[in-house]
Amino acid sequence: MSDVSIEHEPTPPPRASGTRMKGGCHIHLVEEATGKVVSEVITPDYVYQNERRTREERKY
Amino acid sequence: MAAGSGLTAAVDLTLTRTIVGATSPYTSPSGGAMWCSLYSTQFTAATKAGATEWTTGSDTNYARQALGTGGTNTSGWTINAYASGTGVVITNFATLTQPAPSSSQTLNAVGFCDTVGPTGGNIDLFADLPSPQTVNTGVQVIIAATTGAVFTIY
Repeated sequence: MSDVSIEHEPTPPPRASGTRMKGGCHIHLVEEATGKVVSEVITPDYVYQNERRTREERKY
Repeated sequence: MAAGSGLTAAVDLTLTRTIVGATSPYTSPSGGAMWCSLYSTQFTAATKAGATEWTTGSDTNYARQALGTGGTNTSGWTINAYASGTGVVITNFATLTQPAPSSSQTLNAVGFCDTVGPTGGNIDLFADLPSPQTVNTGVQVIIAATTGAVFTIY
């Protein structure tokens, strides 16, 4: 896996009225022949509690 | 244009009609079946529509990937109960693997739609990438189970 640094905004608080949906994807581009991750992309609104990790914390 | 995510503009409208009981409401995916689709352009936060999907003409391996598992694409999402301060979080149940393209493609957004395609249907959810990514031949686009796609309704 790549050593991409990942930081996210916290999950937004619920609003007092109305509703909204946001979110996103954590995408891996993987070489089919080798299984090597050639790129890793996280879309801007993606939030997952266990993904708040730094470069040093990412051990695959 | 800023990257966006969530419901498409069309679904914003039809869901609103559904909630208030107006005509032309939202039509749920048949049997809960949904597919993951890939796009070379963004939907954008402002428009939430109009992204250009990959085509089988440019990538003969392209196919929308079914959510779910066990030979069925129903129940493709894990839906968590509402939690105060968080909302309702949904995550994809199984890993989605797009076959490596037959020719290099540009990835700029991911969608979740109600038809196997490879064209047509309704796009319900989308997530724009922060910048375009080149997907070369021999490279698969993979969205891992549970952590790969996460949307929050709040």
